[in-house]
Amino acid sequence: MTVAEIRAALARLETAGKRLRERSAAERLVAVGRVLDAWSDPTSAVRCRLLEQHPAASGLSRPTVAAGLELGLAGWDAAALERLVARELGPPGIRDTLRLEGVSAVVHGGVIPMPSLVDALAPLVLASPVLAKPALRDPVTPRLVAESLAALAPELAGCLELADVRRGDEAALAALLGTARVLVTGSDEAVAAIRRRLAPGSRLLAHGHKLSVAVLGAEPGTDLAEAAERLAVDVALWDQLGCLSPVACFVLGGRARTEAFASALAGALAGRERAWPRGELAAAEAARVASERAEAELRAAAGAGVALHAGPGLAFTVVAEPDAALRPAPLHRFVRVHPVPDPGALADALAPLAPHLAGVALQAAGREAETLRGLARRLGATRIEPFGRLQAAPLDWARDGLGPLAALMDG
Amino acid sequence: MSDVRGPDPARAALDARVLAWLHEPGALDAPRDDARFSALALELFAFQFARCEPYRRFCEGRGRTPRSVASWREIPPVPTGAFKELELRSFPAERRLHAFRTSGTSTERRGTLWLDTLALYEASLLPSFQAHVLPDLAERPVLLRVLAPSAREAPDSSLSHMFETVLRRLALPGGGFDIRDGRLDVDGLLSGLERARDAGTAVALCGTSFAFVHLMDELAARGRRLALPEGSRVMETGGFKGRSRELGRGELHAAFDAVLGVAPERIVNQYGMTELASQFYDSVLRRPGEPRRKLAPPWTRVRVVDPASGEDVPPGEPGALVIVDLANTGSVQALQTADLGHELDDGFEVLGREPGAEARGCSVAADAMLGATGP
Repeated sequence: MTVAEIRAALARLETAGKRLRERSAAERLVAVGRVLDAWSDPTSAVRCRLLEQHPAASGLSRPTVAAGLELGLAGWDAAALERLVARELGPPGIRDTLRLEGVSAVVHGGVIPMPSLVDALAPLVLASPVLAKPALRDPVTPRLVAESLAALAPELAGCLELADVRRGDEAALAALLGTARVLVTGSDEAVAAIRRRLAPGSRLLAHGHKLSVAVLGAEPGTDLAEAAERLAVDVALWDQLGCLSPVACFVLGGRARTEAFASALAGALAGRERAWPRGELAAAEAARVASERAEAELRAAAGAGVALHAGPGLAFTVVAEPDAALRPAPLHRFVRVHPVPDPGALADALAPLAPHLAGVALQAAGREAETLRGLARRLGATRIEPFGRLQAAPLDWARDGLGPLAALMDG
Repeated sequence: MSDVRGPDPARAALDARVLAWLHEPGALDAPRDDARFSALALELFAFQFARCEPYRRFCEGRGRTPRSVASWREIPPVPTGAFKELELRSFPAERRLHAFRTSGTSTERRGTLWLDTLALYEASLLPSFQAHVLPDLAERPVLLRVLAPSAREAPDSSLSHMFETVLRRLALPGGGFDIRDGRLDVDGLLSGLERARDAGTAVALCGTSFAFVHLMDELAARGRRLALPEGSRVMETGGFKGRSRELGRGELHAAFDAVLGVAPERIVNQYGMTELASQFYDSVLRRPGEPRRKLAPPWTRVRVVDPASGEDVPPGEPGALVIVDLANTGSVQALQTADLGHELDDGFEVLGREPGAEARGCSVAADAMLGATGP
């Protein structure tokens, strides 16, 4: 889009915004709720189109996308939106007083539809029209959101437009970033680049890069194979590209248990690979995975206490490490499994990651579970769930500590 | 106890044959000698297989031994990251003479290349540097200024050692280092460059990419532009690693042109790494008018491989770079990098990641975060 086209879109959205603010909060809520009802229904037309189009754009396999959507969008319906609004905006009488002025620019990032969906719809709930810049590897979600609004929420017609800004077109980007507020999801580098270009008076809400880890408690009765099956779900979904994808698993209970769990996890990932084949790897991504894998192979050969479980090709990799020291995580179904002697050592090991920790997949029982949950919270994790459920974030997940509507209202 | 540091006598004959090649006048322009390379590479593989225990076990794990390997292409490469984890040396520990360490933040592990002699390292670097950065040295004086700390200030930096060796061996008048006590001495550099400009002496301005960005930012802050004398050239190397704002290669070269008056065809990028004794340079000064590509010295070979299979990709297609460097006699000669590239004529091109390129996921590698959170 040219600068002139973006300015024209912004002018249309300003006009649409006036109409949007004249509607009651209840009307907006009902309209957005209809869209969510469709997106949460696996048989709806929009879900079918999403599943049809997303894999080609993202490079993920269709079964992986299907599984990720089924888990990720379950329960993202109108009732969930009503609960979210009630919690973050208060009772109906107060809601009508809570409105945003101006247009919101949304700069989408990554490949996962759910964050894009919530980022596109949340401003509409608060009466702010949206100019959305799709992510390079998921141009599908914002386009389908726009189509859903047109088909299911005519009250909000014209309140969301797409901005196809060419990479390197500084003038067009500047026009996009001249809105009242900018929501951006992307790498810390991308967020910093947006921040530098932000217009004076424009507010930035940024979701930078995050990661997650898993923790397996020392409970002796744990069925390791079953725990591995469930953790493999968290790892394999979205090919480990989500901020709720564990990149490492810390195992309490000793080296032998760690190695046994690593072996079980490799077996479980092999099963996931058959059901949900890993998607495309760009050459740079493949080089990174191959390099880390070869390094583990060499450390194992050198007697460093490392065990490498490598899937065929670069399908998946599990490395049983000798200690809790953090090591590079090249993603794309590459997991390191670390022994950790006690929760204190775990806290020390994870401390460097605290500013970026999104979630912790936790498999533990009793008092140990409480201790580990408290530790994860203190480290800043905003989502702590049993193995296999980490990627099932609800609509109101407070990604960076604030819920999707509260974050928009904040400040 | 006697000091046994220094070159391993067990390798003396092999080193002598490699050194002979490195010292041969005109070696860089001689026709490619595959037979000579292959013979030396296989002999060196057998030596390193026998003397470097972790490497031997790694090779055995892949079913590759001196008996089964028939071509230099079959020599198993070690990933460069392994130098962060293991001492990959083919000589006894007590012979360790010098260590070069990779750069990195305080929270990152740094790779270490241990050497029992600097002779091969220095013999390899000099002809390549001269041929690609100073091919006209016999015709005109060149002032060599270096945007890097001296080897005395950074004794474990292979880059500083390289420049120190060049300055020492070529005895270039007025040459020196412009990063002192960790700071770029802009005033000192500017007066040196102004003197060269007044005398009409061509300048070779060399350094890391991020040091150049700092220089150009400083010049911009002062509202200064330089027009380096005719015949001047820039040699830049390395990435940014969060030490300055990042610029794409094209953007960096445009800035050299605009701020220093050095045209892109006189900008030489060096591809090198701490773990390798040899370096690779852009062809622009050595083969002007031809397509820009990296040229490999004859005692090295570069493979472009499919990362998943480790097999060579068809010519011209992108893949991961594997480098075999005969000058790495004391460590391991075959290295697998995480860099991408493709073959180009008689050389290769390294495919860089453009700054700001959009990542596919919102997750990120733990090491990138650790790097970002370091002080």
